[in-house]
Amino acid sequence: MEPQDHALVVDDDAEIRDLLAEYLARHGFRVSLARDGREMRRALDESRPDIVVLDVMLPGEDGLALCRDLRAKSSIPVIMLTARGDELDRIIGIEMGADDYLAKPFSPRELLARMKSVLRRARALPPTRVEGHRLRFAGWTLDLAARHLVAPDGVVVPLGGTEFRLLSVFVEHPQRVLDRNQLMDLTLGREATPLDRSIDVQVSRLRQRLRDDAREPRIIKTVRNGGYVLAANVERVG
Amino acid sequence: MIRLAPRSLFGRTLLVLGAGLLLAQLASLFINVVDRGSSVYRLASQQIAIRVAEAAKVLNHVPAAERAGVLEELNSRDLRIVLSAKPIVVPQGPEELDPYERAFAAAVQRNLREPWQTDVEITTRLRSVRPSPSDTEASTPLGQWLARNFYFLLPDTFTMVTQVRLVDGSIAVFYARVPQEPLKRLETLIPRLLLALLIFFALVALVVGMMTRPLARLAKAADALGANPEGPPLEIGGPREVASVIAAFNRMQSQVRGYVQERARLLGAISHDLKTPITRMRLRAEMLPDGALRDKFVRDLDEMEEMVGSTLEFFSSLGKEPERRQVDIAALLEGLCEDWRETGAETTVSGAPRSPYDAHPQALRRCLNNLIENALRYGGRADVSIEDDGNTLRIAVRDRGPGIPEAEFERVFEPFVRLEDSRGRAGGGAGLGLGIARNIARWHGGDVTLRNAPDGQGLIAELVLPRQPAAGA
Repeated sequence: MEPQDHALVVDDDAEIRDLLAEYLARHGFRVSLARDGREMRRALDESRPDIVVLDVMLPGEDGLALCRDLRAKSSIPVIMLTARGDELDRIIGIEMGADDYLAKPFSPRELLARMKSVLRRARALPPTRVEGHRLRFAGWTLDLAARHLVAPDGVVVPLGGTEFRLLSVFVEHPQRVLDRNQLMDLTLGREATPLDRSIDVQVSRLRQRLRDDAREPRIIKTVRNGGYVLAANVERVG
Repeated sequence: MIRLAPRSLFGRTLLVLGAGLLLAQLASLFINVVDRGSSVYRLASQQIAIRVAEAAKVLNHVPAAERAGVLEELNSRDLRIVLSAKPIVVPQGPEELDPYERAFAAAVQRNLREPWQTDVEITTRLRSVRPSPSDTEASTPLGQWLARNFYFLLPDTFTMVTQVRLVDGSIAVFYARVPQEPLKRLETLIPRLLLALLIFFALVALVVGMMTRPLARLAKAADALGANPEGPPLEIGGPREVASVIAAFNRMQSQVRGYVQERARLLGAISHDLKTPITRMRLRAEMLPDGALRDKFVRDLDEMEEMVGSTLEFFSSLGKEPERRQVDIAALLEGLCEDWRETGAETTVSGAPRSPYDAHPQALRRCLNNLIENALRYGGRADVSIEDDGNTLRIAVRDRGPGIPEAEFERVFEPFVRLEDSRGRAGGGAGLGLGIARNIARWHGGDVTLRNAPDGQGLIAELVLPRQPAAGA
């Protein structure tokens, strides 16, 4: 059994806080609790949690400000919780540097899965930190909030969930060779079996979306016996 | 039956005013021709009577041998004089003299009484003659054309035949032409009438247009209100009555908007406030020791959450994304279907659009996802086909379920309507998915409609999106 992960839960609703503590504890987390920004800072001073679950709506200083503040000081992964399930929140959450975003009422299982996934990503491959929710590479723009691509000619190319996750992994690790196992793990959350071609299928779909020639790809290149690499510079654009 | 009356207020007003004017003009024409014409005619008759009498006096004084020479002098275009030994018989016409003939005879007699001192024997007959083209005095081509073709509308041309027994016993016959005054008048009146009508119609068209244009704008605004109550108020203009209708409409629009917003706010607030308790319940349910019970709780909570989520979405599905952008529809549909396939659902996409579509990207994704989700929930699988003729983009989502009765096609778009009896509630759902999809489609100037597949195997939900964006959208 892996060593216990330490989660800091920040929520002003006492019951949700306690219930989350109990639930996460059952699933192998060590849990600290904080009611607001002040308590959160105190908890961070006392120990360094592996992950922070942060409610957006807090009395006093709100979760977004706390997230930005935390991001400025450390790279502890943050999952934001909000009761407002709209686009704007997601944009702001991502802009403030949250690693993931979950709308209330969330499913506890979903939260657990996301926490694990964020932790795994943070450990396996610390992403190049990006601020801003739009990333530009090779003329294309990936909008992390809207979850779509914008082609060089301005046409919006919507992405499916897996396509989006896979491309996010690539743009978070530009010019770095990612093998099939890493891609499987980061994208689908499971290990590749020896004959598993699903990543290749996904990459080929992605190339199609990026109008990249499969025989001579320019954006996502195939590395012989290695995996794939995003062969473009990534820059942040707002 | 063919409808003769125009439908529009504009046309009707024009018709009524035009018909009124035409009637008034015809009445005045009638008065001109018949009444004034006849008084002019009477006056002219008097003149002729005097001329006839003068000519008779002259002939009376001239010896019979010299009369032929004098006749030469007296004859003219309008008055022809013939001498005869005995009275001639004027053909046609009744024995009785009519009032005109009597008046003419009396006028001749009055003017002759002086030299004769005694009563003179005078017979007058007014002979009606249909004018022949050469007969008419109409000099212009239009006048000749009118006389030729519409002679039945004109008063007959008259020749007054007067016989006077001279002192020596011989008879002088006077053929006098009565002037064709009414014909000349008609010839000049018709172009005037046409011109007046033309000017009148132009003016009426202008004025009525000014009055009805604000109404047309109002009708358009009322249509737009249905699609989007958030539209700007109408500019108040036009005649006072129309302006007050527009003002009333603006007030109504703002009331409707207030009502819609209030309703949305209320439902939104309730749904929003339910989120925290549902979150707590989810956590509690997860910690239930009994697995079967836990699953049931989780299912109920899923359903509640979906209702809350889609209620909020229903009231905020529009307007959050003001921008329209070119969207790759094929990529959108393939991405959506791929996501559903990952959950084990059966979905396919066929066909391809000709070019990207100008859409609100997130809203359109939600709309299509709702249609696919609906097909999967009630019809087992979703087969999406894309058709694009360059003007209209049609995306049909077909399931393999039992379909629904035609009478329910519209009802299922209403919020919270689910056809429990026929389709069961195995899949849950709040009954808002189709309503949201339709809201979004209409926001794009299109619509979502349902129909049963022709082979009776499944329901087809079709999203129709016009390529030309709706004006003002």
